Amino acid sequence: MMLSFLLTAALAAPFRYAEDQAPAIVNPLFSTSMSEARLSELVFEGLYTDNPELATTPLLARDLSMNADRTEATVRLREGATWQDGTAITADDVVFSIQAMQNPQTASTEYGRVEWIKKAEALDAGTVKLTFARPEARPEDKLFFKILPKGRFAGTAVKRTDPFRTQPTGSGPFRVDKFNDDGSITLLKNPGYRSSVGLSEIVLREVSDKSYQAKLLIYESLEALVRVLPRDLAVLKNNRRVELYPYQTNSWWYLGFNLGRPTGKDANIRGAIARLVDVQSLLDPVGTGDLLSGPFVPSSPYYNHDVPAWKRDGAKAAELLTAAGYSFAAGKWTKGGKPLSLRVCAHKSLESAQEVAINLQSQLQGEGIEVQVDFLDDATWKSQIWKDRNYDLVLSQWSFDRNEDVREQFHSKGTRNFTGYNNPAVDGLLDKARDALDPQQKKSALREVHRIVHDDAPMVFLWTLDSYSAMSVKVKNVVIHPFYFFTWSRTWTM
Amino acid sequence: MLLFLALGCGGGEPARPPDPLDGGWPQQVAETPLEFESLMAGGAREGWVAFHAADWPTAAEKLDGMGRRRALLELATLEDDLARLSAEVWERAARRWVESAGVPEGSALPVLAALSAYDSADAARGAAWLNQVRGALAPDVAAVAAQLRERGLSEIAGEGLAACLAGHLAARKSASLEPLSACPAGPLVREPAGDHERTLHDPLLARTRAIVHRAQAEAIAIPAEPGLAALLFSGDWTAADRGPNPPTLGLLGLGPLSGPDEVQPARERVRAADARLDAWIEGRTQGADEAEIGVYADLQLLGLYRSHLLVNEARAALLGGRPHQAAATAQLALDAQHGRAIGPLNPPALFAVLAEANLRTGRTREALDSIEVLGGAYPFVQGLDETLSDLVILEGMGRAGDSKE
Repeated sequence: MMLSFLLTAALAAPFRYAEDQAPAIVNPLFSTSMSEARLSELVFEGLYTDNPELATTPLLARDLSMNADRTEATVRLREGATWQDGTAITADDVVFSIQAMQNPQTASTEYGRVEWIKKAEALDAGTVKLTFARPEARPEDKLFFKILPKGRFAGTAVKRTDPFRTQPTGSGPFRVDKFNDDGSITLLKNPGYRSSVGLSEIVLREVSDKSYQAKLLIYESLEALVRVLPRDLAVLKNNRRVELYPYQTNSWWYLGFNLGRPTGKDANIRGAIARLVDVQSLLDPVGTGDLLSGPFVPSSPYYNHDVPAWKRDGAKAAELLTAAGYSFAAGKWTKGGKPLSLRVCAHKSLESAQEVAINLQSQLQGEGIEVQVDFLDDATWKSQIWKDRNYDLVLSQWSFDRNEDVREQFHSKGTRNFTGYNNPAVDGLLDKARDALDPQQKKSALREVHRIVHDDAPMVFLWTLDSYSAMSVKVKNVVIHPFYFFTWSRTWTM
Repeated sequence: MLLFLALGCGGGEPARPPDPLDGGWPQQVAETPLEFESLMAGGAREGWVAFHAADWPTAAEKLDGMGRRRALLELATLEDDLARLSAEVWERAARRWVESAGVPEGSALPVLAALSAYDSADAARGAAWLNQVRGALAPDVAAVAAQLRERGLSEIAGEGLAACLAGHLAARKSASLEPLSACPAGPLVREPAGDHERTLHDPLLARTRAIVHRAQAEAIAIPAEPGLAALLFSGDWTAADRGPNPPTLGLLGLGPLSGPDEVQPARERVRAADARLDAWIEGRTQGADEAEIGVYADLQLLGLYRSHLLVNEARAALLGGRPHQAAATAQLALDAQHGRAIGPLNPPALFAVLAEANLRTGRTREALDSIEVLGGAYPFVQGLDETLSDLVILEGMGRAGDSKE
């Protein structure tokens, strides 16, 4: 009797994983963070996805056919696929999702992923015709964006505040059950999912104190940590009830200037700050990592190893600040009687951000620059950084899938270019890289982007860290997606 | 490092229950330090320190006899792993290139793909690649193509590319890397390609080096009683494990895999082996004196044995056509705390095997992470790194990238 009770309890036990901050909203139209992307992967599906060999495979699509000049594709949808409320997924949903991402009033952060689609139309309930801006060799490789139910929205101009954000309806293997008072989110197995799902319940636990996450895993209060702090690797690797999984998301840290403000606009000031920051001493408390000179990780095909990282050079920095019209007196840099002052913002959930930001503040203040540090919650971050651009310098991190496409960050029209960087030469190189068919032409163009972006310094590129996830050995058949993490979670069991 | 200097103070043998795992080289090092000390004598200490750190080139340079032989064999094994990887990368990259953009006019690309195929003893595939040549080749490349068509890779003569290939063949025959001086230091072929220069790297390099280092190793006689030098810091627990049906693998629940190529059984095997080793070390160190416990811990003897053992297991899984299980095993072998560095717990072959397992399971971008680690210590890997990066780009051609904060 007791054994049966324990067995039942074990079977029903939730899979609990930790994020530094739980997403406040669940809507792929506005997904900007890795925690949102991971959650979306559990709830929503695209027309295509990666199979475990990372080859493109149909998900909500059944198949795709092209016209002769490859400017149009007809996508037939999987038969019998339904939303989590039981209604059928139709071509109208696909057309709606594309149009919502493209609608300027939505201001979707995913616009760049559908920019290449000129027109989407439903031919019948199960067939969509896509017309492209240019010929496409393999459009299915770009049809990974999430499909949303048209019926849940009033129109294609979707607001972040739409009620969908806390009551989403997807088609994935899990559905959002509730947002809990402790900041956690409970997901339950989608009972109508078309194939078997191994886990019955998933709980996303917000554990903002990252140093506490490893303890929770060791004490079996969690089944998974998405990202292990470098300093916790030693204790976790020696724990036989835990396994580490590489989760390299091609991530790099940076200090990004606001190029719309006088301090960021002036190349001399940017160059001076790049030379005043002792990056290695910022990194030391965080862990071991590689210092960077540009917007790629060193193992990237696009990393330009001929470009050295900025080195601390106080004399050159002083020369540049003087050229920018500042003078140094009584331990402060001033111009027209006003001190050189920066507001540095970091997201509250960024691991070790507090240590890094305070250390940065101390370094710059020691050099005569006033620094105010603000740690922003998710809503404030999105409003002040992404929307209003109310900052001088951000401390943040970008993570990239295996394509390491920095176009959205550095193209003047990029949807993630909140620094306001605009260099026609870089735009041209990014366009060339996007259109190249010769891999070495693409490599050459992006290595040149690395060089120019380093020299222009819209960002001070900091470091990349080794990244691992940790999982209880209770969880079986785990294969994690190198970017979205949960793509194959359907087959995980406990 | 300190312990390399301080061994020799082992105490008397406390009473411990016998264990079938008793008698391995870690136990010899910890419990009979005199033999270990004698190995360090005569200026060999530096070489064994390098061997412990999996720095094979330095170990081969500093050691004599059995130690040098083993360091050269480790080097050859690593290079064999890289040669296998290189052949796979070349075939995939050239195929993807042709699918994506077609064979560039006058390019040596199909000739180098053919060379890689011939070097993998696949003459049919080599000939098929030669048939893909478009337009007029550079004279030295055309000469190589003609000779390959005529007699494969058995004999090549001429200038430029042909001279380098002749150097490879001479190196393989003479067991010396000296003839490779006929090859350029950087890319093997440079071609103008519009607004950039196309560079193609040597597909034969890893195999030539493997053949040379293996021949150099095998020229060193094995002493009649090699003792600890034959096993120290290896993935073979005892001398018997060097033969067929290694007994320790059986005791640890490792050895040939069966069933489908799934990750879960591979992980559970490693976990079971870890539990067995944990139990053994607990038994050995219970009641042992501090010096003995210190030797196990400070020289990371068990960890070092485990990592080499698991690399061998992962390689066997790869050779047995089980890339998922190879990847799972290699990941569990990796010392994540120092995941970007070669060292006692992360021998270089771990990164080569992990790269191949990643490549064969579709994780081409992750394979680059491993190769990047090797490139620092083994400069000849940089050409493979570039070819692999071409493949990564080709596989992502036309894809929409995603990025998040």
